[in-house]
Amino acid sequence: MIYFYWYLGVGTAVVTIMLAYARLARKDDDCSATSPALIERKSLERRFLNEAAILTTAVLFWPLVALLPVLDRHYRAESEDRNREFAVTRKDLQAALSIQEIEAREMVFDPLGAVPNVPFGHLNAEWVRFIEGVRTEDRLWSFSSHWTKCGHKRLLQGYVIVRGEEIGDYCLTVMKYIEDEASSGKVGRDRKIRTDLPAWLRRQAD
Amino acid sequence: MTAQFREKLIYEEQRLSMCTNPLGSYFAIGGDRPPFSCGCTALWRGYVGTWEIVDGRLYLVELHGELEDGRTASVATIFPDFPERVFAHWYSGTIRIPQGRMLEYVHMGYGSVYEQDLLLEINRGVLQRTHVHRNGQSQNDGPEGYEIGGMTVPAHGTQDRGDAP
Repeated sequence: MIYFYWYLGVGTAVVTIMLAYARLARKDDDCSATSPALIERKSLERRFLNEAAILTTAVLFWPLVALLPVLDRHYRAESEDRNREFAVTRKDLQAALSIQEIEAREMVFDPLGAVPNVPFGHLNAEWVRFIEGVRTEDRLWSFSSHWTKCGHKRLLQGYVIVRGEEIGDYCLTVMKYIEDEASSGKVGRDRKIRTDLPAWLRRQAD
Repeated sequence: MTAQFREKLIYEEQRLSMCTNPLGSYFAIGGDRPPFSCGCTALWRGYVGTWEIVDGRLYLVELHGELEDGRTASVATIFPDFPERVFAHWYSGTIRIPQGRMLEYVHMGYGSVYEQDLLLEINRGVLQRTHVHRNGQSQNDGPEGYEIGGMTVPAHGTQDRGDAP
C-alpha cells in the first residue's frame, strides 16, 4: 500500500509541475484562456467537479500523461519534416552562368529522335517558366545539394536565381535518391535475408 | 500502404518487372502530371509504364492508365509530340529489377525481397553500369518473379455518374 501512496505522490508532483509549466508557457494573447465570450458559462460546482475528475484521472495515470509532451514533440518534429520544402543555400552554389551557357549545356541529344531539340528536352516548358522570372540584375548559378526528407536522402541539381544576397527560385535538372549511409551495409544475420539494400531503393514507389 | 503494381522493362529482349518509377522523377523535377485516377490501392500512381533500354538509353514506350475524367491515358497524354517513344533524359537513379523467388513479402510499395536484384544505374537517361545484388536463397518452391498479395478496389457508386439507384 505504501508503494501506491508513493505512486500517487509522484503522480501529484508530476501533474502539478506539468500544469505549472503549461500556465507559464501559455501566451498572453491566448483567447481561449481569458475571453468570457469563448468560455461556456457553467456553474461553479460543475466546473469544480470537471476539473477534479480530470486531475484525479491525470494523477492515477500520470505515466501516460508524462509521455504526452514527448509524443507531441516527436510527432510535431515528424510533421515539420514532412512539410519541409527544399531551398537552395549558399554552400550549394557551384558556378555563375548565363542563360545562353546553361541552354548550351542542357541541350539533349537522342539518336532515335525521342526528345525535342530544345534546351532541357522534355522539361523545356519548366525552363521557360523559370527564366520568365529572371530580371536583368539577377545572376544564375548552378547548384548541387544533398537533401534529406522523411529519412530519404536525395541529390538535387539544377540552376537557381541569385538576386543580390537573396537566393530565389530554382529549376531542377537532377533529382536522384542516393544511398543512406546509415541503412547500407546491414546484414540480417539472424534471418537468412540480407537487408543491406537501402530501404529507399526497396520501397521506391510513387 | 499496399504493395504496388510494377512498371515493365524491356531489356536485352526480355520483359522484366521494374520496381522503380522513372516518371515520378519527371513529375518531381517539374514535368506536368496529368490527373491520373487511382483505380485501386495497388496502383497509387494511377498508371503503368513500359520502358525499354535501347543502345544503353532508357525510353518510355507505353503507358496505360486512366484519368479522373474517365479518359484513357497513354504516352501521348504526357508527351503529345512523342507518342511512340520518349527518351527519359530526366531520370538519374537506380532501376531495380527483382529476380528469382520471393524471400519475404512486404505489403508496402516495392518492399518485397527476392533472391536477387538486378540493378541498372542510370545517369540522365543513359545506362552507366549494371550489377546484381544477392539477397539470399529461397527455401521454398514458390513462383519466381514479382507479384503483389492483394489490393482494394474502391466501388464506383452509380450515384457518382448520375444514374438512378
